[in-house]
Amino acid sequence: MKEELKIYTFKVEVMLRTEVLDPQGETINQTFKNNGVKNVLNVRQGKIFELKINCNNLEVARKEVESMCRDILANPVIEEYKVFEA
Amino acid sequence: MLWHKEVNIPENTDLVILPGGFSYGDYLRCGAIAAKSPIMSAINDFYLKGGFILGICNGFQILTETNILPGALITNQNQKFICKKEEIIVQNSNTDFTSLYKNNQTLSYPIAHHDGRYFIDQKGLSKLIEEDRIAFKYKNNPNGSIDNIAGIFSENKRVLGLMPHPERAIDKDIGGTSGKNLFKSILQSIS
Repeated sequence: MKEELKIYTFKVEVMLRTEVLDPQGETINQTFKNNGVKNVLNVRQGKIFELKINCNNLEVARKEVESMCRDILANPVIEEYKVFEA
Repeated sequence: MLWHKEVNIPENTDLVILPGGFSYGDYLRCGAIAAKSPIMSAINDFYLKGGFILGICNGFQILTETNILPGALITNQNQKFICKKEEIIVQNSNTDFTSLYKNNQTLSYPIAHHDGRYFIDQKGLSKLIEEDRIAFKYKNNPNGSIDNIAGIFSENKRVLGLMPHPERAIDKDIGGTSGKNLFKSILQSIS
């Protein structure tokens, strides 16, 4: 019997590696400071992708997403990624 | 002229130039989508066979995204698109692309980019330095590139990627002539 295909939704978070300067995050942090917001130590800006995967198995779908992260969505030279099931 | 959707490079090709500009809106990361376009596997094969490749600006970004060249190019430190002439210092004149320059010679090449900050980890940087693979450095680092790097070579020195535009510096009336010798050098090598 053929397994039924399901739709899985994933969210992928891509952030610049900590050793890479993030000027956008720094500008946002500076704006907080200029507006009297206290206690913010650091701001980093990243990206979120939402992917819908048509697949019959959650683990297979997750592996597919991980592979897309390595191959296209993140550049390992400058970025790291996290995959979340949404 | 070859287009991104083509899959072959003509047999007798001596040099492939990936020009500057923008590709696929530079969505995701500059050059990331272009790096997955059909022509790129032919370009990678050409590289593996020892072909000469010159990547300028967006072309350099595409070469790093395909891992033909190491490192990455990210948003300028000041978050601005910078469009002006920059002083560029020759680091290695002992290559097919730079033979008509002298080491430490200062050139004036225009730059025009928003994402030209070269980044590589310390290990990668040491390897570039050890192997004499830094081609050009900025005198006044306009974009925050690591170690002032403006252009680098592949391991076999047959691929050059650089953010500045030598092709916009080949006429004394528009942009100066600093870039001319880069093209003369490579033409001399292949002819």
